[in-house]
Amino acid sequence: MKKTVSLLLAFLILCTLSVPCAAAAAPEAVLRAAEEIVAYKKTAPDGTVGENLFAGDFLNAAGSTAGDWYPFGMAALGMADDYAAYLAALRENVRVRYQAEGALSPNKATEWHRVILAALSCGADPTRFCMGPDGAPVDLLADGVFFRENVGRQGLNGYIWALIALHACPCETPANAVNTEETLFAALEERQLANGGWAAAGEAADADLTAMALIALAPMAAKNGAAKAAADRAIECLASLQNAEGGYENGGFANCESCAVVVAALCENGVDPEKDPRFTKNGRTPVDALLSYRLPDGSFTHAFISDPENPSAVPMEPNDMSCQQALYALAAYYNLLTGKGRIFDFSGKPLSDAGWDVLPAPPSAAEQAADTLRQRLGDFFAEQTNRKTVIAAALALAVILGAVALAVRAKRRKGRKDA
Amino acid sequence: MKKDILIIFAVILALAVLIGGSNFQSVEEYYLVHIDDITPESETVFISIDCSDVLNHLDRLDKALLDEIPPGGVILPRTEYVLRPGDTAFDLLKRTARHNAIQMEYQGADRNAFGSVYVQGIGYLYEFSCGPESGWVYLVNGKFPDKGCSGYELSDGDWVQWIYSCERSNFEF
Repeated sequence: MKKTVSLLLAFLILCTLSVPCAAAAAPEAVLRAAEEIVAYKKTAPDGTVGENLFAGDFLNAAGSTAGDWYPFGMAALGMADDYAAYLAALRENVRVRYQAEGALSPNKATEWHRVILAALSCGADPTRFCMGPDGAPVDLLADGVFFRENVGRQGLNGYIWALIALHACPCETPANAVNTEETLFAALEERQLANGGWAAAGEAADADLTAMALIALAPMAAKNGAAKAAADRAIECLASLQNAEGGYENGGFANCESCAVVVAALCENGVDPEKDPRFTKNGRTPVDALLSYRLPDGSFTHAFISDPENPSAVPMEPNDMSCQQALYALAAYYNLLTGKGRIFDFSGKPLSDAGWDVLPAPPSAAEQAADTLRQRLGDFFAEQTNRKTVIAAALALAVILGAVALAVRAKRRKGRKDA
Repeated sequence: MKKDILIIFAVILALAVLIGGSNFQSVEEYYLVHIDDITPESETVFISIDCSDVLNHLDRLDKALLDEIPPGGVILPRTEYVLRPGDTAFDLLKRTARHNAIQMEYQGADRNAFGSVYVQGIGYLYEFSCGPESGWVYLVNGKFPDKGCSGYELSDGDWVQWIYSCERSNFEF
């Protein structure tokens, strides 16, 4: 009895003494976590796993935030999938939107920036992307970055992502560009807060915006002293924003996406988020915090508790935005650990404009005829006025005619009988 | 023979006129354009669409939109409509916009990462049309609901306000 008790006591003491310590995630574990996000996305409600993610209904999301981050994250990891199918769907989506005033968006330049990254991820040249309304190829860089008037109309994100897209694409800045690396950097630099971070409003640094700005600065730090200084201050700011669990918050709420974008930003700047002592709080790193949002089915959830500012993000349920951002954060980290390049850098990748001028197949003659008929009938019926009167009169006429016909028939029959 | 032909002709005429006089619509189409009459027994809701905050921030407004701002910023005054079973705040907006010929553009729930309909623009005012903090918000009975408009089911007597705010960061949630 004494032996058992002492053993039990020893065990209990050991338990209380064990300090939760961060075990650095091995590259294989990081890759597996990323692969499981994609596997989760490929899994249908009935449990069957599709061969490719870029197939079927998923392609309807090409050109939107629901779709574009997947080819981006997956290409960064070299994951195989049907990128050609995604590219075709993306091209058609952009082509149709370009036919309307405002093209991809009346006010948001970031629509172009995200599509540029998705296009690059599929190996497509964003400067000759798809058929424009005037027959010339659509140049997403020109329209979304170089010649975009009031690129900051939506706020900081406009400048940040314009700079990211500019750096991502291995193409020349036109001589008469309205926005260049210099002007975009200047816009960011003048908005950097005293604490080294950025915010939409006020003096309190916002982790997400600071991290995104840091991603934009990454390619400049090596050759531009001012950019390096700004990036270093941003890194220090992020270190100070880290909470007691090693994670990050938005509006005071700890959430997955804030952790993800910080992890990505640090990796893009060559800072290992697990090894840099500035980013270990209470034995936990941003990577620990990010992975804590992982659910058993491989997806990621937004938060552990309900956030009134984000009504559609149900706590502890899979969240699509969390999955997307975790995916590319894990990709950035994996690439850092394995010595591969920055995930926002496509300078070494081969790009092609082949297929930019593809148009959807015109409807067959039969389909066109049916469509015309439908339209004509629709016009005809649409012109009917005072339907009730028309129907009543018509019915009356029909009844009269029918009665007349019957009467004539009866008379003739009677006639024949008599004959 | 002649009478048979006459009968057949009469029947065909009746049918043709019946079909010609009828308006064929899918069920969806019918419910979309048909505005129910308000009776004493009907459950009703109220909706208003207001962009008056733009008038406080005209310096930030996209110049091309100056002509689109109605007097006083009232795109639609508080109006009563019949509440249909299962109506969400978005269903009401969609029907109301159509009934009043108000431009409204939205992004389907499957086209964004939130899984919720995103109302992009009403009356040609879009997010960021009046500065970086501008955009549409909706309130029900004076409070911000805890879900996107396509997920919020309405109840009898609810008042849905669509407000274009130019300072969304100052809104209390």
